[in-house]
Amino acid sequence: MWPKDWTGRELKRVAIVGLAKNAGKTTVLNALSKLSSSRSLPAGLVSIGVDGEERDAWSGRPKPPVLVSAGTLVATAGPCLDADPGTWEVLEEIPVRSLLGPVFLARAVRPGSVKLAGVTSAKGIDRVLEGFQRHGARLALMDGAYDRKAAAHPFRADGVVLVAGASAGRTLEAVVRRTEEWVRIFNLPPCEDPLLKKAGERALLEGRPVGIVGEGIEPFPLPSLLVDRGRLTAAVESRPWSALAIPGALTDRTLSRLTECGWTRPLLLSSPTHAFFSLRTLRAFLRAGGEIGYLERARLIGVAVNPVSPEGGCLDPREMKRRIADVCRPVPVIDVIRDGIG
Amino acid sequence: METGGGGAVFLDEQTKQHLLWEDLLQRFRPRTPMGRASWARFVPFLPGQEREWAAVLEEQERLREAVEADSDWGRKVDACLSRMPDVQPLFPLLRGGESPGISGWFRLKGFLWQVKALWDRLREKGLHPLLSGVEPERSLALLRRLNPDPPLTPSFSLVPAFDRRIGLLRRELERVDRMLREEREGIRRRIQEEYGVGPNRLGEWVVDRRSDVARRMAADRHLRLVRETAFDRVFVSGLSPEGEEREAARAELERRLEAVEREVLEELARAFAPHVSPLERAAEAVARFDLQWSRMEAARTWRGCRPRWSGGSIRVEGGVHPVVAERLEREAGRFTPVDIRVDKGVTVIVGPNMGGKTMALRTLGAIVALAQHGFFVPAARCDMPLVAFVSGVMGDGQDARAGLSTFGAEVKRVADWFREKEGGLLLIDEIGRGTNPVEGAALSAAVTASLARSDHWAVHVTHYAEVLEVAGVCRYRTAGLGDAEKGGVDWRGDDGAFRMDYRLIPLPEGAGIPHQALLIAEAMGMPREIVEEARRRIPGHAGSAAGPEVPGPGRKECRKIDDARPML
Repeated sequence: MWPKDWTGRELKRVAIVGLAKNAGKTTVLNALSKLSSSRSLPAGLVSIGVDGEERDAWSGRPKPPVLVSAGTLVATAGPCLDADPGTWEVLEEIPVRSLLGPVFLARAVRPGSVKLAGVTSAKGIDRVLEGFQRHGARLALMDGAYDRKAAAHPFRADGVVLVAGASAGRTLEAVVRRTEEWVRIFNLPPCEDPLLKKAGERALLEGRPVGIVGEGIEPFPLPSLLVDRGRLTAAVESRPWSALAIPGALTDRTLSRLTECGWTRPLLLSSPTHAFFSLRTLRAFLRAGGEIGYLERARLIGVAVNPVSPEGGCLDPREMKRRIADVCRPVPVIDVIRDGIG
Repeated sequence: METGGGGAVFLDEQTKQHLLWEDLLQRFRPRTPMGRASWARFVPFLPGQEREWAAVLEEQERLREAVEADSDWGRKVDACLSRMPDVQPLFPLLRGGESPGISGWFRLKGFLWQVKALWDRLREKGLHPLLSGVEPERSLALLRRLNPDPPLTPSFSLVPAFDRRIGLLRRELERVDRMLREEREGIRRRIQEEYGVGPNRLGEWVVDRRSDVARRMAADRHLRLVRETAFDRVFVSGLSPEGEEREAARAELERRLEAVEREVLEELARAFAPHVSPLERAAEAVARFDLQWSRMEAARTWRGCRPRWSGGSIRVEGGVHPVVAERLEREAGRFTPVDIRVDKGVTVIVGPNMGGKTMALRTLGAIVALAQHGFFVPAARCDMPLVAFVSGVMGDGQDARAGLSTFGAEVKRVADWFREKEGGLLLIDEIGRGTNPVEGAALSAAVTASLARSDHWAVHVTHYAEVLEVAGVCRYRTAGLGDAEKGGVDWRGDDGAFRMDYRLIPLPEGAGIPHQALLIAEAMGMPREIVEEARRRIPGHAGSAAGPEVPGPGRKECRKIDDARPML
């Protein structure tokens, strides 16, 4: 059963993120859209990035279209609306381009289906979300492309659904491991320390790492942490840093190097979309006494499991759900196909 | 390609770079797609088009007065233009009687909507004649054709008011859908009650193949096994015979509805076909107005003045290069406005290095080019004729691809000017400096003498005294360091920094040539002993070492303005 508060009014922007290609995001999007419609909360649907998945991961059939109820809003290219002219009331053309052309906002006047042309820029997504709000959408659903977490950025989404499909690994073990890694890293805590938060905001503003020394905030001597170990060590030892705020991505290699340099103080990232390290490296860092937090973080409101891989493999759905629930606890786990949503 | 008189390019790429033309045009942003397309084909006003040029400037003056008196009105006009959709690709379709898609009809409606709004706004200020080409009654009638169900709204959909059959079929479809939903809901309830499982979003029941439920469902004659995996069995339920009939009826209704919708779109296309030419004229009118509006708004950023036509000379007072001025402002500097009069023939500017001579050329060129592109210009006053082209030899004109050195490239450009039949504005930054000084000076003077007899308006920045000796040239100097070379004048500011006066001032007849290169070299950090040594080497300078160290006969003939001897 889905948690009661996930479609509560406080959630206005939900991103659906796939653990791997062909995870089954469209099916989850349809289920959430249907639920939103059944609760008379008009939903706005938008796809992020380029989506090349052609087969439905759930059924192995050709990829399911995105289904809309009367009143559902969509952001897509003109040709996608022209395919079913009677289904749409075209509301607005927004200054955003997709691979299929300029993006329009439209409202379904009767039930139907649509291809969502992917919007490829963060600014474009912001414009779409503003448009949805202008036209009365109560819930924006963002179908994120494989391997992109941009939609999960806290400034765009206030809730995230992870779709863990069988396509993410050859064995149940592998799928569970990847899911756990994703969830553990995504769920690192938001920063509570006011001084460190201030440092994080300054780092974002200046586009360079910023550290805390005593009660003061100072620029880190390196504009980027992507340097050799010697330079990193020199910078780490240059001042009695008590914490470091990083505005960009933190890679696995950089986190390893920081650990090797003896950095065991808190690190602050702007959001989970900037975390590009493995759970193994994170564990080593935490074991050494380090901490990592986020300036902003969307809430992971659920993990949807999909035991069917488009390559033909199928994991035991009940076992998959149980194992993933074990590693994701307390995040709710659902099987959209078997349990439904709502 | 912008062409001037006699086929010359009005502003060639090299000159554009020197004038920072692309940077200047950053402030000019046509709002509409048709405006942008129209600008790409735009050619500047050329000699013979004085009346059209004046009309364009007159219109902008009226627009600017209206905007400055009512900024809220200006924002509304700007919003109409900014929201104007691109309808040009629809015209060929409609002309051929073909219907655009629903997104195309939405765009056309948006266009008519914004054209009407723009017309209404302009009429408020009595400026609607600026949108000549738009037929407001026709626009409104066409807008209503796309909005058959009052009130007018900016959205577009195939509402039942287009064709009553749409409403009837949609209602019937809804009724059949409702009955099918009810039947399926009944089946869902029955299966839920009997087997305790619900359907997935595909209307399938997925159950564990090892379970008892799976075995019982397999025996249910109302259910059909459609798929089996290693873990699951997937069942579907058929409808009752009445339900099957309803499904078939639904498919037929959908087919009929789609056919009617197609008919409506085709009928719309037929209705619009005769209006394509007026719509194209309206789009052209919008494009023209957009260019005017965007020019006016760009010129407001540099507080432009309206250039006035004058038959003979180019006269600029308080001229500024907005891009350079902005850069200077960022560095807490200030642009010294340029005052200059350029008659047909040659105007020579002399002055110390770093004294602003080249900037004066650049500013003058930018002002003339902007004016001929229909802009108000960044100056307090500007009177000018229309010139056939603006071309410059400024800075390093090396053309590596053509295998030409700086000297070669410059000479080639200057030679091309002499082939032009109509007069252009020529901006010359020290022709001849790229070769040996004797020949360079001679060539520079000869070019100047020839240009002085030509139909061009040439401005020549030079250090060669020979150029000043050419008869019939107008002379300016940049104020530079004032009389600092005579000593006793403090040419440093309070902060000890270099204080240069960039004003252009007429060079009085018989006035001496400013000699400030060594002062500047010293100010720029050249070691004092080197500067002193240089002074000693200047023949005639107090303490100079004449004799063995004086340059040979050829060098002696080279009389640059920064040489110590007065040249006039």
